Amino acid sequence: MSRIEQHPVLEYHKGKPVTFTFDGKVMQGFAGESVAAALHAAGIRKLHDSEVKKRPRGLFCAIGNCSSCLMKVDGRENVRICIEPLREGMQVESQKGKAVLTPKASIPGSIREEPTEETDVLIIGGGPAGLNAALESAVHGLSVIILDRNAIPGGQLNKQTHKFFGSEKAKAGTRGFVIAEELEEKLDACTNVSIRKETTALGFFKDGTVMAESRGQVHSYKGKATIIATGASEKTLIFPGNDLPGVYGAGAVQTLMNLDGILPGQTAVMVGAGNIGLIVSYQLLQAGVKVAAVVEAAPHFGGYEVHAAKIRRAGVPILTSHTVKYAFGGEKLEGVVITGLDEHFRPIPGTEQTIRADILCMAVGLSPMTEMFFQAGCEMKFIPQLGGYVPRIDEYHRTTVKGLYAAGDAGGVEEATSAQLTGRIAALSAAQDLGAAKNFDEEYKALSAQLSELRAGPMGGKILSGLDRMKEEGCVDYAKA
Amino acid sequence: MDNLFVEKSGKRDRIFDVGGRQAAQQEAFNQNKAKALCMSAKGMQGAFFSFSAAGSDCSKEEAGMNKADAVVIGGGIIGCSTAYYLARAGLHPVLLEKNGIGEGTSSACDGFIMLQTKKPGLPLRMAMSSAKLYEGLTEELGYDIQYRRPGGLVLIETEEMKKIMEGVVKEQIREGMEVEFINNDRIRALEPLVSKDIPAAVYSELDGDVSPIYTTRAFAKKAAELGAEIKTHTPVRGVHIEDGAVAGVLTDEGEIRTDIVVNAAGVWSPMVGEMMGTPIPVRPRRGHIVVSEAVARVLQHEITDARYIAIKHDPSLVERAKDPTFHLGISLSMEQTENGNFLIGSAREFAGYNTDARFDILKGICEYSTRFFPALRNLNMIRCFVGMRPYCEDGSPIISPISTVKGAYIATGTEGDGIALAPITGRTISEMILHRETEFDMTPFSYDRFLK
Repeated sequence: MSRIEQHPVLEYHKGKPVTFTFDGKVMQGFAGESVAAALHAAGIRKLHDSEVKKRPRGLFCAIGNCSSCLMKVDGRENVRICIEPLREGMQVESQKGKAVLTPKASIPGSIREEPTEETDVLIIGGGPAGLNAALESAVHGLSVIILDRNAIPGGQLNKQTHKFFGSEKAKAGTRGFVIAEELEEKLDACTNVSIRKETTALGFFKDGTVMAESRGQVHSYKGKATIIATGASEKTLIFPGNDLPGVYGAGAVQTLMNLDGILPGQTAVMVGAGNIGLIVSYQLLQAGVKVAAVVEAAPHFGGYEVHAAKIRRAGVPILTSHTVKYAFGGEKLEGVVITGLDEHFRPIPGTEQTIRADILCMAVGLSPMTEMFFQAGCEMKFIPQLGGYVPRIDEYHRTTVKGLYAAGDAGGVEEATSAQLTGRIAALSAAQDLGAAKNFDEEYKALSAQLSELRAGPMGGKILSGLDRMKEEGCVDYAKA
Repeated sequence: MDNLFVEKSGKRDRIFDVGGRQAAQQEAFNQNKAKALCMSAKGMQGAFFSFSAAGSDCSKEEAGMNKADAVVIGGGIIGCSTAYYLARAGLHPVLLEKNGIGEGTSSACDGFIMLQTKKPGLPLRMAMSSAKLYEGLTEELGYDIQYRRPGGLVLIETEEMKKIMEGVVKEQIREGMEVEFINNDRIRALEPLVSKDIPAAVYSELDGDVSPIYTTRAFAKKAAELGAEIKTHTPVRGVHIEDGAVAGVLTDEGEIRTDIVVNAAGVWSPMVGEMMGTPIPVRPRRGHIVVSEAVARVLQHEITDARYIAIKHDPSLVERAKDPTFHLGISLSMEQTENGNFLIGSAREFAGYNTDARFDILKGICEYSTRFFPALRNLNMIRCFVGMRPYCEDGSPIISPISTVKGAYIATGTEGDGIALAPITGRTISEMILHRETEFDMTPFSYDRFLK
């Protein structure tokens, strides 16, 4: 069993024990955890075969983005088991090759003629940015609907077991999952806020209608203002073996350990010494996993000194000017070959080292999830410091489409505290544009002061240079390209 | 030489221009002059999908070689097919495309090569000839265009539609096409996923499909190998006409001298027509297509329904319809691609050049398709796209010389038949340019029919 029995910070609240089958074998798990988590607990790492080359694939993103975990669940194929909650008696099977369309219609009836639900503020994404935007909107007396594809709102806050930095107003000193719980409690008390869980926004139409799917049914929503707070998705690196089961995005490792209480393996190599790489390395240590090394291509680590110091004290080497050459293994990861890099990021022959590991954790940055902005026709800019394509926004987080606002990582990758602040700024601007804000100037000044303070810290330089590029002409401009 | 375009022509007024951008063009032209004047169709042969940055040391004699045997405007399937057949005949055409190859209509459609949906008469005869050309194209072009000929079904839902189809089939048989009515048992033997409630269908084993994107690229690639120059991201800024005849085509890099211009700009052909003073009665007709997740092959045939054909024959049916999906112009067209994705369409509507998807139409397409294939309810839809088809005001294509300007040709207005008709259209235009006899009497598709 690879369930974490004791954790220095976390208590796991598990559902009731359930029995399910995997390829006919009877297994145990807990109701409500993801099918992928239950399989991991039983030591199953290989989840799928790639369709063309039949290579083994495992869990990578754990948030329903990457589709490397497709399985057949109760007869339905192409199910993303990383976001499929486990239920009593579930029949889970490996999917061989492409899904087969079952001839008998399992979903009865036809598409319901359902009117579009209208609200003052529609928020897509219930993470730190979205929940804060909802609270801010509610304070201004506006009605709010939040669409979130997960069963539990809070987004990435739910896996943050470390204490946050920044100003006290922005919840410094509080652990991420506690912030999420507090936000939810506050929102529960607001009668004009409704959170639609397990509801995935799929399309933004030009009239402002948002199409969403929830448990096989299509719904539609329309806000007088819409705040897009869809967050970001994990990037990876290109090297041979980067698709082996055991190569995880850092977010997936956090999900397994911090949400599900499951050990992803015994020995880890971390790629990336930014804040996420350093924090997740420490979380791995807390959960009892050996961290063999943190590998960083840049000559200096990028995260906070305090996080680096913590893992160094635990004896973990941070190998700067190093990268992964390749990963190896059969059905799952067995080890990693790393190599030293010269000042031009070229591998130095003879510096290869082999590290035996069953976890290769990729913490190499995030890309904003910008599909909704593209669909809405926002002007987009390519700004590497902000994670790639981002909507062009003004200082009030308005996009170039009227009534559409960007909040959190979706508008430029930063971190959870700033996501909370930009969520509030976007909602405040929306309230102002809807004529509901009373002390706009004062409130805006206070929020942007907090944001400036945060960005004045050691991590802020990259964001500020990215925001400068936002104002520049001549950035790659998708809408005009 | 410095002012090739103004001095030589001396007739700026004859250079039709869109958007009043002459000054900017002139500036761009001057800046790019060195590069532009060095361009030669021959020197470009190796450069596929790009234009060369020619050296600055080229002489004025070489500059004079900035000529083409013909200029094809539009890098969709029709333009690329035309460039291919011209190059195959030994000409060195230049193809100008404002974006990338096949980035407009040719990549926002399905890949039907259906004969049943063609109007009896010249469209059907051309389609049958085109289908024969398709059979040899993978080999001829040296590129797998994913051509298949699995046969096709026109599903019939109501008595009203059956009556319409009886008339259509009678004419198709008269044209020599092999089609037959089949009942539900036979439909379900061919396609087990069809609902038991669909009473009848028309079946033809001649219907096929192809990847329109691969076909467009394959035509362009082979054309380039045979000596055509394919210039992408090169908008046409004007067409230079001297004494009632084509003299050249203006781009930001300068003028390409030519006697022959083919307007194959599809839904954008009216803009090119405006540059030449030759109005083109074409406008975009939009279609939505919904794309499903990929599943193992389960659909064997090309599928449409009778409504698709009925609307084509009588557009007024849509206005009179009571069924809300019919009212949105929705009819069924469906195929499963090589990768396993279902492409499910479609709706026809006029909305200018707007390609924003509509929620009601997407819902309508999903709803309508499940009437015929209830199992589609088990399938996840992953995206959609909206494409514009070049609809000609009388419903027939224009494949013809333009009699009012010597050396000008037009090939467009094929609406939803562009993929099916692409090989024969390209070949016919090349035959017209070479003054060879065309396979068919093309009078019904002549440009002159609009001059009366």
